[in-house]
Amino acid sequence: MKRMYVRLLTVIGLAQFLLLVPTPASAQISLGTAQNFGVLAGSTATNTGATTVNGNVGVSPGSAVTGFPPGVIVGGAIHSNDAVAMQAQNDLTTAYNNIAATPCNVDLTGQNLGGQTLTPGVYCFTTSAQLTGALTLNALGNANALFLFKVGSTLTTASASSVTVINNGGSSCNKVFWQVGSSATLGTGTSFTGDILALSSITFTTGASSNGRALARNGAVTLDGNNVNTCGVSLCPIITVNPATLPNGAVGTAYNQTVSASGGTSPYVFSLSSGALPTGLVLNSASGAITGTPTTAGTSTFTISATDVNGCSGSRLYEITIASPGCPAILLSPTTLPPGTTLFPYSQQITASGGAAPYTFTIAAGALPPGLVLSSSGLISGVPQQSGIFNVTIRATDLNGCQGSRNYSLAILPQPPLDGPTLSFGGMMILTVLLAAAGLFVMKRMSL
Amino acid sequence: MLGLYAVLALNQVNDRVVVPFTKVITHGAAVFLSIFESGVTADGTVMRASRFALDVRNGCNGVEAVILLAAAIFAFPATLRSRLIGIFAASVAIELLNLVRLSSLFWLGEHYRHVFDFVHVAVWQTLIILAAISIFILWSWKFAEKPLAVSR
Repeated sequence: MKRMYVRLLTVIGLAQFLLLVPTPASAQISLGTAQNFGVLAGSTATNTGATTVNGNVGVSPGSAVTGFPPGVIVGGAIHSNDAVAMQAQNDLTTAYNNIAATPCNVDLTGQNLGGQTLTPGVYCFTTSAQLTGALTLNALGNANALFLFKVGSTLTTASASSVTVINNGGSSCNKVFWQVGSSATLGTGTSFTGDILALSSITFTTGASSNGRALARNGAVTLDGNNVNTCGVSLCPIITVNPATLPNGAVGTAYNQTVSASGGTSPYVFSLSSGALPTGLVLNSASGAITGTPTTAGTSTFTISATDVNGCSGSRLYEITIASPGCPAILLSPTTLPPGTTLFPYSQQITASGGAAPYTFTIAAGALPPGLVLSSSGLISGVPQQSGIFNVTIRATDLNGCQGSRNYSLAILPQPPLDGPTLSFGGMMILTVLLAAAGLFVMKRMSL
Repeated sequence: MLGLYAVLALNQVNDRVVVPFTKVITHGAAVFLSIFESGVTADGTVMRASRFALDVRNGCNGVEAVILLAAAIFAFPATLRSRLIGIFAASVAIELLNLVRLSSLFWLGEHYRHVFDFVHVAVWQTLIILAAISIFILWSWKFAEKPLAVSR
């Protein structure tokens, strides 16, 4: 009986384990100015050891870049929260969102990428993605074959894993993009292919190399004796939108400014690629003129893109503050909010300047993430309960009733393992069947 | 079994019984883990350290597994006393195992996050199921033998 019991448990355990273990196009994705970066981070870029990065190394909205040297930058420079890095982050956000909005062809949730051979397409993971071993991407002879991987939370590769593109039509640049919902970690000695666009951090462990960029929106990029090679995804020239800044305006006063573009082949078509102009102003797509009479006080942040005759584009992030009639321009700081993490306490003070203190802060539009509240003194605090990007407009009213406002996008990063059921639905079904079988088994043995 | 699930689904029962019980489990796991690791705190149903947090929600507290096991014990031909002993012992055993499960998952999430999903989905579910089956077979063999023999 004892031996049979042990055998039974062994068989059940193995069967159960096997049941529950996760078994293992052609289009354009533009990175904008982020394509000039081998490494781009949101908070810090840190290197240890003999790392080589092709292209720029940048950080924004953070500023700390450390470890260069001993790290070597080839064909680029360090951009520490300067206009170039800010613009690249803006373009990265656009590219990230574009990939995120691309519909899936195949859902690979729960499958390990190791040992698989995939053809061009859009592959999705609702939660995390794991690569243990070799992933082969077969471009089917198409030099423009596009592989998009959308990962809901983390991307992790085991030691000595690899991503290889075959039958790529002789193309020296493969179009492989990894959109990662939280963080990416490349294991020791991993040979990776593709640009990583992560919402949070990217970590290269010792000896990992990437034939693609490491682009992190909010978190850090950590390097340790790695090679980061970039390859031009686009053959477009760098198109610059000028001027660098636009003057502020006032409610009821006519506004007239013109943006221009250079670096590409004219004529250019101008458009708003993100954000919104102050109410009352419009952008002329042919001339780049921003004209009109502002009707609402506040600070508007927006991106103007210029596209040349060849379809190549560039963009720049602008900010215009419109003052209330008879009032000074009231500015809210900071310009951006640091990201939070679900279940971790968040606190950020908003301040105002330019008017007569004290200021009263309110939410003019949108909403803060669930769990966070804004006090009248401008303190955003609480424990975020939900991940995502939340758009909110915060308004400051000074002693004289003059108002200023700013639009914020607050990113709340996910904690991958938020919930952990003791037994999933499948697990409960299996347990039900096994309990019934065990009951019958015991009764049969006892009746013998 | 369905009746018990229906009772658990009631808001009143959930708010007054299940959630407080889950908080106790969460605090118990945090206390257990704090023997080996400092800086782990429990706030309601959330375990938190400096780099990691885990929200113990309904379904994570082991109650469903206990109900399944209790239903199996209740359905097996045995005396009422044997059934009650079995249900009590099974509940304690499963909840203690769940306490270890939560603690280990939190520790893995904090230090080896890349294996968290695997251990969570594959390893611990397997262990819980094996434990439940073992408890049931052990109980049915030891405690339910006599009534069956008599009836035969």
